[in-house]
Amino acid sequence: MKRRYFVPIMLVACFLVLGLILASPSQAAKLYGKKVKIGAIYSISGVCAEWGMAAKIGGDIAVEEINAAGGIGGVPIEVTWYDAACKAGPAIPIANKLVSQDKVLVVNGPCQSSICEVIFPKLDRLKLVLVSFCSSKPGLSALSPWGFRNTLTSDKQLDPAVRKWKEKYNIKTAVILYNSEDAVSTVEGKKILPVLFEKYGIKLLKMYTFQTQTLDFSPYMTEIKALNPDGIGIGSCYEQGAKLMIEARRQGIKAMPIGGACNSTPGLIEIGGDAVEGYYGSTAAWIVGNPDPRMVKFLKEFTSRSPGGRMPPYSGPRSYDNMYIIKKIMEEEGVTNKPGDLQKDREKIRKGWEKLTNYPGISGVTTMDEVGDGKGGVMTLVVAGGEFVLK
Amino acid sequence: MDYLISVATIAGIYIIMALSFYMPFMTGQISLGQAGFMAIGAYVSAICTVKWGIPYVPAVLLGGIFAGIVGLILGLPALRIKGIYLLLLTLGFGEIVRVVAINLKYTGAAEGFPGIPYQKYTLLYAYGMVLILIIFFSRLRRSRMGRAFQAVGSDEDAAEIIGVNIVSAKLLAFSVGAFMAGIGGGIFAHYQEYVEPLMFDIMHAIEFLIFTIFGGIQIFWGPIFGALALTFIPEFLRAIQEWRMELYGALLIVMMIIRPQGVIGLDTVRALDRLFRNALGKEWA
Repeated sequence: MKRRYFVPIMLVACFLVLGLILASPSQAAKLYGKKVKIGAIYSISGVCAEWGMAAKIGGDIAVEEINAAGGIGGVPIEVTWYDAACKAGPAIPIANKLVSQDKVLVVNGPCQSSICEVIFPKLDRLKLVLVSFCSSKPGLSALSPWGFRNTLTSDKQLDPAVRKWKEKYNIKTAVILYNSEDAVSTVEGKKILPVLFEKYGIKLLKMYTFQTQTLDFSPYMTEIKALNPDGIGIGSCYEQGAKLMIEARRQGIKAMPIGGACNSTPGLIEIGGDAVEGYYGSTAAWIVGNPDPRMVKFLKEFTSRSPGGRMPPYSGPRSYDNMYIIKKIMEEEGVTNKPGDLQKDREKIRKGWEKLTNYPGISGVTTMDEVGDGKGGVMTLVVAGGEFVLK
Repeated sequence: MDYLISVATIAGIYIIMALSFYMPFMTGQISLGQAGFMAIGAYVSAICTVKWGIPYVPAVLLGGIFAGIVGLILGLPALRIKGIYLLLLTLGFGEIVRVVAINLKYTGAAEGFPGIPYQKYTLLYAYGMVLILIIFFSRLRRSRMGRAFQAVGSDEDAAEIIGVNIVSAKLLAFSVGAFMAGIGGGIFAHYQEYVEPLMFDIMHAIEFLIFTIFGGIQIFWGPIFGALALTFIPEFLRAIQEWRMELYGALLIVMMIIRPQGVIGLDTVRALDRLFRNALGKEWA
């Protein structure tokens, strides 16, 4: 009896297994063509070159890893990238070139909020997904359903940082210094920090503005010393954040500093040294001191490629994550990579980014909110013993 | 195609800006304030369309007129000085405009001015303006006023002796140049859909100067060629990525050694003119 039923049962089982394989999602489906064309906008020259270079190295590492492991759906990635030189002007022709001439499926970048401000409103016409890896000015992704930012906006980042900073140092009074020439720094210094100070019962004594070219902070600190605040809120990138804290400590000011994402990068400690000890900051990626083996491996590879072995700002790991997320979305959404399906594939990628939830990247967990900005995974860092420690 | 259109559009706007620099330059006034006038035109036209609902063409014209009026006011103190001092004055003006824009809450201050309506026919408007300027400059060259401008530019004292009204010539050239820059700014703002103070920094003013010097300062075709060439060349060099701007810089150095008067000079125009006449003559013979 057993032998009589063995063959039919095995046949049914084989059909079931075959059916399951055929019905499974198109994860392992092979893509059409010899190359998967991905675009990138990395500003490797200009005022934000460090962020662009880090993003390029991070993106390159990810692409090499993906290609070594068989590419996307068995097809290797080919990146077509351009330097926007941290300016909004060249970004428009670049975006047009990527859409119409290079015919890429998706674009990794750009970094700067000012470039996003110019390109994102045009994306409804270009119909191409752009995913920024460091823009943090609130409200930009809402400009188009095709614009995404795998970062956290400044307002999301700074709230927990201000709360923890106040609790740690018992901050009752503070001053704010911000770079009035930079859009994100202005938003942080003028809009976000004052609101958060009020929320957590910190009295704002005075606000000061400086410019990108400001090198001498002694006049500011002379006045701040007389005010004797408990804390200093900083709206700037790390070069000036570090310099103003060096001057503050030189004049004997004991106020504890706090700053946003552009300030909370390894460069702050490299320049600021002891002057930034105890600094609180928000970030979109915990880099130095992060024990995650994936981040350790990434940093080892990154520093072997970066000029002078420098550590990256968060654009590096975020750009690295972007490439892996693109791979995941293409495989899950059934992108075909056929030239005739280009626009359909772009739309599939857009939908994939729209519903991205809990992607475990090396920068943290990425989930897109309703407008296309990253949410969750807010991290607060503090400088302790010359390195960033997660709080 | 979209890519080439976008590069051509930006080149068109830069031609307007290069000619706006060339206009006061004809009377010997070197202005680094053109980026400031461009900013005025950009912001005023954006206010007109976004805040007051004025249509595109009158809004851009208003931006140009406002910049022209500011140019007229700035031109008064500029009459008394020349050379490097005028450079400093106009440089200071450009910085004032930028800092005002940084602090002006009405236009978004340092955060920028978003939501400017997109003008999809920017290419046509930009080159329409270029065409108007070409006609204007060709007529100006042969006019009494144009010759007065050239006389003032060559030798102010000699021009005064022969009865040229230097004050009106210099003021007119300065304010018309500012008007052109304002128009360029208005077109630029409605192409970008967003403006912020950093878009009008000193580097842009220097860029307009480079377009003019590179293209040629003897005749208005020079700035036109300079703006076109120096917008398209870096785009064609994109393939070499990191070395692109190095090659661009080297090209400028080589050009200045070989042809310090710029690529297009009076000799070039005359040679082309002869060639054209000969060709026509043969054809019609």
